[in-house]
Amino acid sequence: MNTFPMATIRERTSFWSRFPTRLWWVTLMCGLVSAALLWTSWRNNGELIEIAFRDGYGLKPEDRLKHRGIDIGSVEKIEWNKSSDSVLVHVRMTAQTRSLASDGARFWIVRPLVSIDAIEGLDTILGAKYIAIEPSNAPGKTASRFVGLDAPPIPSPPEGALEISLDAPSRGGLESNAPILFRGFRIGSVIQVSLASDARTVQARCAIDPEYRELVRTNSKFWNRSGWRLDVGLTGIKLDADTLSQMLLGGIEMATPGGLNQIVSTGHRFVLYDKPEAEWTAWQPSLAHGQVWNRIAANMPQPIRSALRWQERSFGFRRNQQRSGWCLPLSDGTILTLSEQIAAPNSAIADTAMFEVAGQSVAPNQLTVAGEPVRLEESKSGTSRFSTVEPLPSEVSRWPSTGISSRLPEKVCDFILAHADPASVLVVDASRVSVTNSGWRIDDSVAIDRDYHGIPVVSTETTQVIGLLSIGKDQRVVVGF
Amino acid sequence: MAQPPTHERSRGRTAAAAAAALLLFPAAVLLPILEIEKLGHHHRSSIVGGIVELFRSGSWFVGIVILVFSIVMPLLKIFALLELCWLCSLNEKHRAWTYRWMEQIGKWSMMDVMLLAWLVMMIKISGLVQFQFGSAVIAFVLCVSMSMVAALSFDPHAIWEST
Repeated sequence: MNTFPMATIRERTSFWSRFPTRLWWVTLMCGLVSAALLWTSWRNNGELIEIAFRDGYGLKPEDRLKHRGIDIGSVEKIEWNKSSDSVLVHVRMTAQTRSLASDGARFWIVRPLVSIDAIEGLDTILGAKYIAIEPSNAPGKTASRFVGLDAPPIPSPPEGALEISLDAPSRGGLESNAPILFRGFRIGSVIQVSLASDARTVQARCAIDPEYRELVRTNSKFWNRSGWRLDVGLTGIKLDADTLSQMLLGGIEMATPGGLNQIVSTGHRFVLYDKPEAEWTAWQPSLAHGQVWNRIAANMPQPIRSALRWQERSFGFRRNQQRSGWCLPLSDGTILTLSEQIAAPNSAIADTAMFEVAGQSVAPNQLTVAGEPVRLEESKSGTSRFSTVEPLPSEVSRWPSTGISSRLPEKVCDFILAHADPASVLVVDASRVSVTNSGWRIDDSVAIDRDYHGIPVVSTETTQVIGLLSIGKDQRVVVGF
Repeated sequence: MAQPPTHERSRGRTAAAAAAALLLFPAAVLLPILEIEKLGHHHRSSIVGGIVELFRSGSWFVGIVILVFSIVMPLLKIFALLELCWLCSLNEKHRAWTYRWMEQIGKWSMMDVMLLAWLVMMIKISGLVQFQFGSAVIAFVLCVSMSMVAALSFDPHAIWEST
């Protein structure tokens, strides 16, 4: 009897057989991939903001919003708003840059712009237009509705700039953003040119960059520089022009005479002349400015006046003589001065010399050095450090005795003549100094008043007092200690 | 009589693949599939966004064709497969009817064809513009392959096997 062979079927008992199919793991993975993709896309989708422009300038959806040249959003929709007759542009910002669109942010459409001032937006001639943003300086709360500008904003003057106003009889080709030049060097720019409220003059609002504000003094002169000058004469044709941009743009030239005039404050008004007088261009003042100024200004030695009076006999008469200068009180109670400021000349009648400082009047032989009387033989050069009989009044500010260099630095450096009047502080460049036996001799090209005799000299590198300025008949020398 | 495990496995595999395809579908059609940059003009398009643009610009016919063949049909096919695998309570007649329908729809579900068309277009325009694949491409490729796996692993015999 034949029996048909039957297979015995066994259930699979492996771990995986408990699940109907392994493919469910794939399903799970696919679900995760899908969720991750959707989530990242949703997260990157920033908020919509709305900017109203007067003109769309051919902006299209998908065009970009750029800040400093990189994309931070894209235009989603553009529509015409009937009620305000403007173009409403809806921009989707990325989530990371949303905070840039806060109150006070400014938007404009970048498009090719050719003016005599500058050529801008060349990248948009062929490429797409884009919206540029200038975030507000003070971060406020984010906003979602903005009014766009019609043209790129005039760059706002830097923080701490000096704003002055120039009055001119006519506009004379002056444009906003024109440079203000000092020796042909740009120190600021015109912010705005407008007619004065009474229409009698043209007013130019100007900003001087913060590092150059010390160059503008109350006696500074400003004149309109048309950029180029053509002189046709018998000897030929002479064309005067600086750079091409100045030739097109013009500008305002400024000059400051040397002297002791005040630094101006914001809002000061000057007259803008048509052309300079011959002497203005010849002025060569030494003015501390910029970083040098900022570093030293906070901590400047405060010299005080001193005078030496004596009597001399001439033609049988007694004549009063005096020398005055500056000396520097120190924190240890002593006073630094040029030796000749306390030593009367040999021609003086004995015991007539009196030294005056800070309301005291003492005979020079009563001054002491470390308890010993000062040696009074006259020395034409050198400095002395001495104490008066009575201490100086407490309101006199004292320079720390550690802030004094024991001798002149080996290498000549830039230095400052620390006049007590901040407006008269002078800076002297190292290139104007030559080293001599008696000290550093300052070039004759630097105009220094006789009034600077005895002024402390501060190194701009170490901010230490390195010596005193001695003004003789034919030379000005920095004398070390 | 116990159901042979082959049918059971085929059914499970189909259901898993179809569910995966369904999960990936929204990401594939909603996210940008292509980012084009031409002379500074940016364009990002997703499948749904492209259809909306076609409708807006008045190309109703092309819009409807793409909508039907790349969104409606693939979705119907996935749902039909899921129905066949999971709704065991349906009577055989209904299941047979669904299967027949699915076979018809499957012919017109053109997601895979569209993927090919995209690729051809990319190669053609690569000289003219710069383009980048969007994030939807991953989802799209996975979705197409999952629905193919689902369709291939479906065993029509399971319909006639009694539950």
